[in-house]
Amino acid sequence: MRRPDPEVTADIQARLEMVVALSVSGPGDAPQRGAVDGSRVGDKHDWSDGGQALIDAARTFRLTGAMMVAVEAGTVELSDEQLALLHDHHVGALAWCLRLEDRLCEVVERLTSVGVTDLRVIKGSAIAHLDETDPAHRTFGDLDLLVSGAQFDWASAALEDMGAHRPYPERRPGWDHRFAKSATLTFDDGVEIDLHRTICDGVHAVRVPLGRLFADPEPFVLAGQEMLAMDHTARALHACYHAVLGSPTPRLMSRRDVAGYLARTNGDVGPLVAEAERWRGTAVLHEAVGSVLALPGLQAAGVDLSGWSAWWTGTEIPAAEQAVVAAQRRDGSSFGPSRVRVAWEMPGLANRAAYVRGLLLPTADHLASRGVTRSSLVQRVRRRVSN
Amino acid sequence: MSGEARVGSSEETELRAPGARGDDPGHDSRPVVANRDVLERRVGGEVLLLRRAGDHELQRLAGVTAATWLVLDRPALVADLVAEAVEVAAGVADPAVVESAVRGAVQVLLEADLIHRVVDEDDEVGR
Repeated sequence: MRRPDPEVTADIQARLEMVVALSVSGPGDAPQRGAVDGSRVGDKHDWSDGGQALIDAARTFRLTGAMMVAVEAGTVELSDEQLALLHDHHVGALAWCLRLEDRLCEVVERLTSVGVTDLRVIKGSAIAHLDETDPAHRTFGDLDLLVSGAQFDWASAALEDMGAHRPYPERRPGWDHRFAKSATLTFDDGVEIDLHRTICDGVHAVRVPLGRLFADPEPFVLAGQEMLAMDHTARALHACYHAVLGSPTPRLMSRRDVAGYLARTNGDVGPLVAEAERWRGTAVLHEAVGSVLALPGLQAAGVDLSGWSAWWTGTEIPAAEQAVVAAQRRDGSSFGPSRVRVAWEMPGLANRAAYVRGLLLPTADHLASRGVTRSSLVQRVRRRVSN
Repeated sequence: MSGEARVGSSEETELRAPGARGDDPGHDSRPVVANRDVLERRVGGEVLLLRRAGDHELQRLAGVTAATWLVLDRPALVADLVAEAVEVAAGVADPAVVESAVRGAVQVLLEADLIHRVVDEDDEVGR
């Protein structure tokens, strides 16, 4: 269960944003097991007056690894008490990551054994092992797997056979493998797996070419077992989609992920921009780049994003595309007005009909699991339409 | 509890090389290497490990044991490990103490089933 966010003061928020900037690895940093180059950073920050609240906030926002990077690079100074607390929080977070990766190995073994071949590890563990100078810099709280729609139901059933359970039944029979972004399955020990069919909700879920997500996988090894992740460009765009479309305002960790991908392009914006155009997601990339450029301290931290800054300034996003992004951020994973546009863009009349039917007529089991009755759902839809 | 694992619970074992323990298992002619089925994270001077086989126990290495683990991603003779450590610690620590600490660390790692003695060429890849 997600811990409620503590009250974060403007000062703590500003410092955490600075930590994000200070911990971004650039093209010159070692690809694995290396350290972020502290020598490129000019200013040093004495935050020993920040007390426990700063360190607790770093834990809440999964930034203990980033804070450790900044401390080890000598760019952030903490008191002895803060350092001890940071170490404890970080060890706790890393221990949980190891538990998750242990389960990930079991799950991938099982899914492979039942014939799930279109399988990619996405987000946390893949980013930690493929995109960080040291996997310990990036902690995560759950597991994310991407499977093809055709194999989604097998994968879900195999996870349930392993003891995972779904808090909500499928919206309608066949909904998950045709339309869902993901389904969450939880084990009794708290390990949560987000089983994805695609990487985002809403209109962009229709636009993202699903086959592309499985092309040219990049491997990494966990405990002697090979895992497959999406290729670098798809991972970078996924980070942008998650940052922009995954929550009303981009989370700090998501901005750090995006910042890392942008920094490592070494100013060559071409491949990522071209891929975003193919996904009809230029507006998403633009918004993600903007959220990173707004981070204070990037320049002082020696992170060169001048190529991205020029692209961001020189790229105009049509108002209609901005509205699509804004509507998706407003609705999140709930079924709000942005879903009308989804139906509009969905290819094929049969698909559209099935999608609209699923939107309007979820099964009674699904509604009951969410504590909703059919009449309350109708009232909610009426209210939204009249608004 | 999702999102965090408490370290320090009974399921965690902290492994430290017993400095005075220099018991030589008597197999120095065969290199030792890290087991592959181990998940790892490094934090400060410590290493957190979780071995996938067996009891999936979380282990926490520090000091000489952590340093020994880190170099065993490739097979190495214990004698070579000792020689390297003695060289690194020259002028700082008594060579006999260093040797005892390294041999103790290897023994601890062997007993925890985190490393093994290489038995054939196929086995020599390490983690």
